[in-house]
Amino acid sequence: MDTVLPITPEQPPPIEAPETVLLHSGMNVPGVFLTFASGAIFPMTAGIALYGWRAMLAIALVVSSAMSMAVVWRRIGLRGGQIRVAHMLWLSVVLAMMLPAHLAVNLENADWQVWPILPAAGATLVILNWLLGGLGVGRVHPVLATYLLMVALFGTILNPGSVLQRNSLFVGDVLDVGTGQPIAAIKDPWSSRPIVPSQAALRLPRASEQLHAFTRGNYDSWVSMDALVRDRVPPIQDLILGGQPGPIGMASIVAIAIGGLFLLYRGLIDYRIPLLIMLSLMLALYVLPVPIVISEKTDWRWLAIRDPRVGWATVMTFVHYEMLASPALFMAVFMATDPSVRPMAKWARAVYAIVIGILAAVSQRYISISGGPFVALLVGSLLTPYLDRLLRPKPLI
Amino acid sequence: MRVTQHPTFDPLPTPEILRVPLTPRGGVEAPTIRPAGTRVAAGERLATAVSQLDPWPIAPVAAEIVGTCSITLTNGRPVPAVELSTICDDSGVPEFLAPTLEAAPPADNDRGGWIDRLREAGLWIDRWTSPNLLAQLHDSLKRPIDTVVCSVLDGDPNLPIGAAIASQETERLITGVRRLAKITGATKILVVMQRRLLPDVAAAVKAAGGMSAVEMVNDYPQADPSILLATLLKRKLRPGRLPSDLGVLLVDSVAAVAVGRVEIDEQPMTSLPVALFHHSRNSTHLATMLVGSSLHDLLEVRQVASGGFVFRGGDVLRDRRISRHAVMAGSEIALHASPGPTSVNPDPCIRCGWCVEACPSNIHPAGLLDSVQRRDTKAAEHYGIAACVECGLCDYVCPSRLPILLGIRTMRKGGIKG
Repeated sequence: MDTVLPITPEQPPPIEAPETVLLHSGMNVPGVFLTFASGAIFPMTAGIALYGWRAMLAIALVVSSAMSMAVVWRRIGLRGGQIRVAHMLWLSVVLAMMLPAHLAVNLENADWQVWPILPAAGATLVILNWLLGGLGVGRVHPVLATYLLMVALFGTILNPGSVLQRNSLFVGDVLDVGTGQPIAAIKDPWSSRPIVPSQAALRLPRASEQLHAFTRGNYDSWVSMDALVRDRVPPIQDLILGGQPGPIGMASIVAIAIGGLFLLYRGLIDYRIPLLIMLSLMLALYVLPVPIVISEKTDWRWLAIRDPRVGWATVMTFVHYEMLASPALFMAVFMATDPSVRPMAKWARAVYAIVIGILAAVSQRYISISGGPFVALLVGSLLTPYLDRLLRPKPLI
Repeated sequence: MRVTQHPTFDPLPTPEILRVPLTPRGGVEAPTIRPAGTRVAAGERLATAVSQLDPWPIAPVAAEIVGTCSITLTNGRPVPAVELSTICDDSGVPEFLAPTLEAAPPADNDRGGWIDRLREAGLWIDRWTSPNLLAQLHDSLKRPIDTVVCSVLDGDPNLPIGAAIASQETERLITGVRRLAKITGATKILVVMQRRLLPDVAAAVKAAGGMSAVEMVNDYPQADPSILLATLLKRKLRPGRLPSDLGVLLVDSVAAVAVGRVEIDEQPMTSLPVALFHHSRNSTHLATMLVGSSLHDLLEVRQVASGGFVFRGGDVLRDRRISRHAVMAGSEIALHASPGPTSVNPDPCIRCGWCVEACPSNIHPAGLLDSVQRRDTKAAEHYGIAACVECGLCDYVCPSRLPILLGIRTMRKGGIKG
């Protein structure tokens, strides 16, 4: 016993730590879905800009009907208790973005009122969400199921056909298209196209329709791939920046990409999924057989990029058009990343994304450009439980 | 922690009552103690015989034996203890004297002799970041140990006890680690630290020779033995097993310094550094406390308001709740006081996968919770329950506030052990 330690009766000052230690990250379920919905603001704003007040009204009708239905449906059964308003808000926003603006109010030349489709879609979404398992349980995306049901029931009514001119952004009526005859060939991009006076919008042929007609051999005259990409499809800027008729949320690829980057920044989505979907989609589109020329006998070629008769530049442009004219990016960013349908493990997500990308390429080239990616997601999401089981993460220890 | 200067651990005044644990292991027969009323000097043995695996319980200060009692340690484990009434000096203040070991140190190459000396010094280390030291040393007599790893990483970066002790007692740390390498016959010594924060310690380790300072970012839960050995040596240590099973002796810096103190100062382990983080005040209280003091003593002396508080031993996310009467010994030295839990109604799992992404063991916590709910032990094994280090990160990130950690612990208690 040789060392005497001092006793300090006075208390040393506590050390201040600048950060409070939390027992939880603070992020809750409503926060997750509200952040998802925040990411949708970018494409939604682009849609409202290009499709006007009808787009805003369409979104309001879908979202409000879904919210009202959710409040009621929450009281139905044990599963009803799993419906969350924030979750339904997110789903209804996605659904609204998949529908065209012209459904709001009424079509002048339609025999019947079409606007009830919008609240009906919102209400159906809630019911299908309830039927498919509620919050986080389902294997089929409820928005996808609702959309496919709407397409099956209403078909071509859901096809958009017009876009606002530059001088009528946000406030114009997308159905104010003058005589209503589509302009056959557009050379100038939307941003520098001459303004047609006394009408707010222009009826335009959609790139997806032209591409679909080509891959289905539906042209009645001789058309080569080269002629198609040169003369028959709109300028590619219209697909990238905006200026093409389309569903509200798919007005601009740039806006979708910004929304995706926002969700990535907030850590809500896994970059692998959109990246691998788009990469595998592109590669598959390069490889899959495509007609070189539409004539009496359609000439199909695998790996058309290697065919000297078309040239790599034409095939690349064609593939880029196919990618940009379809809702593939929208599906990859806002739907395939949805927690309820994508796998949880990294490798499983990669396989899931590649499968969806390849299926999307097949279905959009040979079935429908505007619906193919959604069919691919439907099939891919059914594989999720098996991928989760087979490709679980390997424990570190 | 974001403490820029490493603080000192001021000794806490000696409490009137000390409850010195008799064995670190719960559920074993208590050793026979000396009769009640016996006066013991600081450093004197309190028991007449102990198991070969246990350190000798020694009196931290001069005291009178009151009797035996049952206590809980700061890791929540109940163990038997001997209650001591401390003896005051003439001024009425309890004596706080650092005793020295009476026996002479064994020969340098006497491995068994050194293990016995550490036992006699009451060297008790058995906490999350530093698994049972004596058991590891005993293992080293049976199987080869090739590496000694000294972790200066702190389990909880908000409570940098290890880093503070390493910077203040670098010489003892180096001596302690070297002694452990001699006892085990290890040829490689690694001191793991965040060198940027401890440049002096890194330089001293390098200058000492025969050991390396290994850079590692102190991200939670990097200090966990399983995660640390997997990262550092690519060896897979099942949670709950001793590193010596894989030929490694792992200690934290506080343990290494305690060994160094036995060698350099010939002092037994009668006190230990403790840190308490007060979540409401957002402040850290550091102190040197006698073995056998309670958390209550620290709260009283530092006048920490703690009514309605929940106390946790070890890292806060591991959620090991302890009572305010938990006793300080060789177990957890990082403590937390936070307001009582608010009731949370969990949402259903939304399959966000954040638990999978956050898991340092690469297991599937959401799948595990599902297995627990279905009582499916096979699925739990499939999802990697055996590899769970119970760090609690899954609970932290879960937006649905699901009790994943509780589920895993419940499942383990039900049969599946790590």
